[in-house]
Amino acid sequence: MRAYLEIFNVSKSFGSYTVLKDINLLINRGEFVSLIGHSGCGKSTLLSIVAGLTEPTTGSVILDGKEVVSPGPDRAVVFQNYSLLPWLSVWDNVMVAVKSVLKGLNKKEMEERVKHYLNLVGVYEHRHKKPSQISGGMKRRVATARALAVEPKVLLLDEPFGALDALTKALLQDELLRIWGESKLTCVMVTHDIEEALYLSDKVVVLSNGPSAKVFDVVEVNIPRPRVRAEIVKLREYIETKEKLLYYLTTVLRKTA
Amino acid sequence: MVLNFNEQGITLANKFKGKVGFRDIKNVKQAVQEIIAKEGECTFAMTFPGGTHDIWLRYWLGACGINPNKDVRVIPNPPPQMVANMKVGRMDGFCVGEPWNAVAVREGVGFTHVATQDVWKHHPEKVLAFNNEFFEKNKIQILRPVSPLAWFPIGLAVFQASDKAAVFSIAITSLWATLLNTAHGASSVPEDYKNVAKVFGFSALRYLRYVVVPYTLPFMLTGLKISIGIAWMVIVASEMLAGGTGIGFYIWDSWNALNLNNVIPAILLIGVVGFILDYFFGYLQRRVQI
Repeated sequence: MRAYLEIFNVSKSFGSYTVLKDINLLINRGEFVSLIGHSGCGKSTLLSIVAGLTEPTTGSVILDGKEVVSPGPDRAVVFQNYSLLPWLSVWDNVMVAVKSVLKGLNKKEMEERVKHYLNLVGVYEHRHKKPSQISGGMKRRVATARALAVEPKVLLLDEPFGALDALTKALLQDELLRIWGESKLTCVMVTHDIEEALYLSDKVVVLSNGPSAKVFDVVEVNIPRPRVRAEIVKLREYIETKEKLLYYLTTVLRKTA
Repeated sequence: MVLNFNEQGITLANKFKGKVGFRDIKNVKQAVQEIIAKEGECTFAMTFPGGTHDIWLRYWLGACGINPNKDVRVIPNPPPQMVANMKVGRMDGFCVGEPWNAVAVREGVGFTHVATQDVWKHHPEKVLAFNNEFFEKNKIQILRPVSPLAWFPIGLAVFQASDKAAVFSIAITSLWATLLNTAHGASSVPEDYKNVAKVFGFSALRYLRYVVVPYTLPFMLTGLKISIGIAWMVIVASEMLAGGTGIGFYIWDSWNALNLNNVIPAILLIGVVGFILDYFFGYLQRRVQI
């Protein structure tokens, strides 16, 4: 059986500098996969290649049997810095994406869809505001709503909870898990937070240090769902997996800087 | 930019005298064949292979019925050495700019056979070229120092009417700020917004409408603010030149009537209107600031 998202022998060089070298990954439909590694190891580059925004130097990415050759709404990206269009309201930021992708819908269906996803991430009351008038957490929610509203096959998240405070982070992680559970989405997330990766993922892909980063190991997270934050930390499986990842990142792949 | 036209010529050595006259190309072939029969070859010089002198010379040879690639020898030679080389018999004709055609006549070694404008009427000669980098950095600076009033005669020549010439001067001097600012804005759309458009499959029109235009608007208005300031200054000056209407004309007219009482309030009025225009566009600019 073929996997839903397949990454074959992907390498990326910028001139003579090789960022990624022979990356192979298979991701199944509905899986939540995290990419983890030290900063500069090329995990965001890998995500960008899956998104089609960066062309791999060698190798290819195949989604649902089709090769990825350009960016497209079937691989919606929640960008690291949100990338909301600052001159559009929260509503319009989602609406413009829906209009562009789901051309078959009529006006009413589009409006209902935008409303549904803004409600889902809890920013519907702020729909008239501009991105500059809302907090970082809310921008993150709007960016997520925009990505979900276009019915992607894969949701690509680039350090989605990076710049948030601990409380907002936990809240948004729970929401992401809920949405992921309901929509049966396939998620690929870049992170450098081990606990976050463990809480959310089915698999954690550890990349070795760059340049020429490779897949160092793929660690399965066999923690039953639904996961409750306070309880999973007591599970032996959680503790062992966390120790394994910590050992990888702090000892084996220890950075000398 | 073309700096000059014409001014180049083809000189033939004394041995052509009596056989070929001024602009008399029909006898050239015969004369050249006689030289080849006598000396074994016939040589023409130009300043640089592939340059304009090379082209004029070859075109002229062709027009005379001589194949420049087969029948004669065509060699490059620096302009100041043309006359000396002809004197010692190393070449039978050359194509070069002035003063070397005239020097050949003065030294008595040859005569001017045709001018290059006989080959191509009003052909461009020297050009002023910039590389892209210099031009990008300095394109405003190249045109900006041109006084608005210096454009006025060009407007008059083209439009044959002083009011249209005034509008032309105003447009051409105030245009640049808006144009260049807009171009700069449109070419500096951040990668993040471009990526949004790519990921969500925006059509070209949607990209323009929701990304490029809103992003460029503040740049455009900054340009407009500068343009309107320049335009207002040029209006007053052009009206003085064009005459007939406007506050500029009013000032000039009052001055001619030795009526300074009218001049001072008019100057103040110009200042106030300029300030209001500037304030208004400044306000618009702040409104669209992201």
